[in-house]
Amino acid sequence: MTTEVEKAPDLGTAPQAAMAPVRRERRTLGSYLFMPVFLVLVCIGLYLYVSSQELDTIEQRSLNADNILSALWEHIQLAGASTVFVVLIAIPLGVVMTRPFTRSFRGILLTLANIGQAVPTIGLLALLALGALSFLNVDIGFSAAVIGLVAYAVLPVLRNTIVGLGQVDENILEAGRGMGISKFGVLRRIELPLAVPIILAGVRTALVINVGTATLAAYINAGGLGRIIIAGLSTNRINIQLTGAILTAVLALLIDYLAGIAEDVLRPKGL
Amino acid sequence: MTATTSTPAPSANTSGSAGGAGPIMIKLEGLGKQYPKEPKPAVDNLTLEIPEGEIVILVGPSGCGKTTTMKMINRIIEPTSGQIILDGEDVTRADPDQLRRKIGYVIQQIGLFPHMTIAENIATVPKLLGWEKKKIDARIDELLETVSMAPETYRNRYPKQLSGGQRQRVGVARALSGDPAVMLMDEPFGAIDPITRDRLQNEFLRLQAEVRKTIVFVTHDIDEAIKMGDRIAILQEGSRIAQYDTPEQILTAPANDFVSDFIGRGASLKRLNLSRVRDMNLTQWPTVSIGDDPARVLDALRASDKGFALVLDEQRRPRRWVSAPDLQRGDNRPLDQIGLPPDATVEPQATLNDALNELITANYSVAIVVDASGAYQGIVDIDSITEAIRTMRTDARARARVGLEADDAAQVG
Repeated sequence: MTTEVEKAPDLGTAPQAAMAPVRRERRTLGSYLFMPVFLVLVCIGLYLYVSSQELDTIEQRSLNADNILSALWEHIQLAGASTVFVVLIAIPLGVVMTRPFTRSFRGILLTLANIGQAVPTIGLLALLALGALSFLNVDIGFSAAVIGLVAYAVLPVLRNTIVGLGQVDENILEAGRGMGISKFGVLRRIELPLAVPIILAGVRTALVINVGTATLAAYINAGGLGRIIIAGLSTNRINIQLTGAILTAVLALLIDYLAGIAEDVLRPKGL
Repeated sequence: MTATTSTPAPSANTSGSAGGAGPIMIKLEGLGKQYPKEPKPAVDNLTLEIPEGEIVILVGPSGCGKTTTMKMINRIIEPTSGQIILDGEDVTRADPDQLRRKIGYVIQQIGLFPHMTIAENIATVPKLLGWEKKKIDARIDELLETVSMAPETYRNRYPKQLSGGQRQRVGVARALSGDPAVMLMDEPFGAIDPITRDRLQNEFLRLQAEVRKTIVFVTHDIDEAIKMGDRIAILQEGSRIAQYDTPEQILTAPANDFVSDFIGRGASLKRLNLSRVRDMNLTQWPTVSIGDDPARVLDALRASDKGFALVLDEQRRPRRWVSAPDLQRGDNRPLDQIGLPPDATVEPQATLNDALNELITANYSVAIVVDASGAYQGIVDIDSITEAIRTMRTDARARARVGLEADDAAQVG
C-alpha cells in the first residue's frame, strides 16, 4: 500500500509528524512569575516608604498590621461573597435565557441586568443601606453592600454566559441530539463545557469589578480597604490614602492574575 | 435531452414501493411536514419503503424536502402527519432519545465534540446505552480499525488534531458505535475535497459490504447518488417521488422529464459509475518478482505483446514498472531501482469512472487493480473500459426497444 501513503498523506496511514499541535495558550514560566514578583515588590516598596515616614497618632491608628489585615480580609469577603452570588445568579439565568422557551421575555431580563450596571453604585449602596436601616431597622452594611455589588457585576457574567452558549456550533448540538443525548445532557456535557472559556472570562471581569467597587462599601459601614482610603480622606493624611489605594490595586491585580490561571486550568482540552 | 417522454417509461417506478426487494426496514406512510405560516408543506404525503441492508439515496434539487424527510426518520424534525415504521414498529410517537440511540446519524459538518477525545466521541452512544466500560473500549478500538485509523495513535487525540477526511471517518465510526441497524447520512462527504471524497466513498462502500446497514443517504449530487446507491429516490418539491429505482433503471429509463433533466447530460458517462472494477474481465500483464534476474524480465516481456512489465514484491504488491530500455540503462541494478513507480492503483470496488480517471493520468495509461491488502489482481486499460461501455450501450438499447414495443402494443390495443 505504499502508493496509498503517497497519495493520501492526510488519511491516517501517514506518518504522525504531520499533525497539528493542539493550540494551548500555556504561558511561559517567566510570564507566570512576572505578576506575583511585581506585586510583592510594590508591597515591599510601600512598606519601606511608610516605615521611613514619621507617623502621627492618627496615621498610626490606621496604618498598623491589625487594621490593614482586617480591612483586607473584609474586602476579600465582600468581593468573594458577591462574586459567588453573581455566579449563582448569572450563569443559571444565562442558561435559561438561551433556551427557546424564554425567547419572549429575554429582552426584559437583559434590560434589568443593564439597569443594574447603569445605576451609579454609590447611589445604589446608599439606597440599600437606607432601606435596610429604615424598613428592617437593622444595620446590615455587609449584606446591603453585597446586594449592591451583585447588581453591578451580574451583567458581564450573564452576557458572557449567553454569548458563550450562543457561539456553540449548531451542528455539534444537532449531532448530539441526533445521537439520542437528552436536552439536559446536551446542555451539561456539550454546551456548558464548550462555553466555559467565555463564561470564565466574564467571571474574571466580575471579580475585578467587585474588588474595585467594594471600596465604596466602606461608605455604608461594610468595611473593606475603602475604610482606610476614607479614613485618609477625612483626616487629610496622604500616607493613609496612598496605602489604601495601592493595596486595593494590588489585590485587584492579584485576583485577576489568579483568575487568569484558573481560566487556563479549567478550559476544556481540545479547544 | 434525447428521447424523453412525459409518460413514464413502462418499467420506471414512480411510487415509493421498493418492489421486489427484501424485507422492509423503514416504512414512511403518508409522511408530511407542514410548517406554520408556510403556504405549502415541506414534505407532502410521502410514502416510501426502504429495504433492509440497502443504501437508499434521497436526491433532488435544493429545497425539495430531502433533508427534512431524512430528519423526520429520527425525529430531529417532528412530522405533522403520517407514520414512521421502523423494523415493523410504529415509532412516530416513541421517545425520540431512545429512538435516536438506535439510529446512526452522520451530518455534513460531522459535528464531532471538540472537547472530547476521539475515543470519548465514539463512546457517546454506547455510554448512553449503558454498556460496560470494557465492552466500550473494545468497541472503540474495533471501530477505529474498521475506518483504518490506528487506535493507539488516534484514541486520545482531539478532533482538532485530525484532517477533514479523518474527522469524517471518526464521524462514521461514531455513528456505528451503538451498532444501529439504521444509519442516516446527510451529505456526509459534502465538505471534503474531491480526491479524498472519492477515496472515502469507496472505503465506505467496502465497509457497508461488511456491515450491511440500512442507510438513508441524502445528497444533491446525482453522481454521488449513482455511485453510492442501491436504490435512488429522486425527489421533487414537497418530497414528491419523481422516480424510485435502482441507479441502473434511473439512467436507462428515466420516468419523466424532471428525472432526465435532473440526471443531466452524459447519462452514458454516468453509467461508468455503476460498473465496478470487480465486475470486469481484468487484463493480465507480464509480472516479475522483485528479486528476479533482469534476463527473466526480458523473457517475460518477449513472451507477451506488452512493452513493459510490472514488478511485484513478496506480498505481490506492485512496486515498479520496467521496460526493456529501462533494463538496458539499468546496468543490472535491482529491479526496484529502475523504471517508474506504479502510480495508478484502484481497488476492486472502485467504479469504472475512478479507474478511467486514474489511468488517464497514469504513466503507462493503465490502472493496476489491487485487493484490500494491496496485492496485485490485474490491470484495467482503456480497451477494457471501451469494451464495458459498448456492452452497457447494447444492453441499454435492448431495454429501450422493449419499452418501444410495449408502447406500440399499447397504441395498437
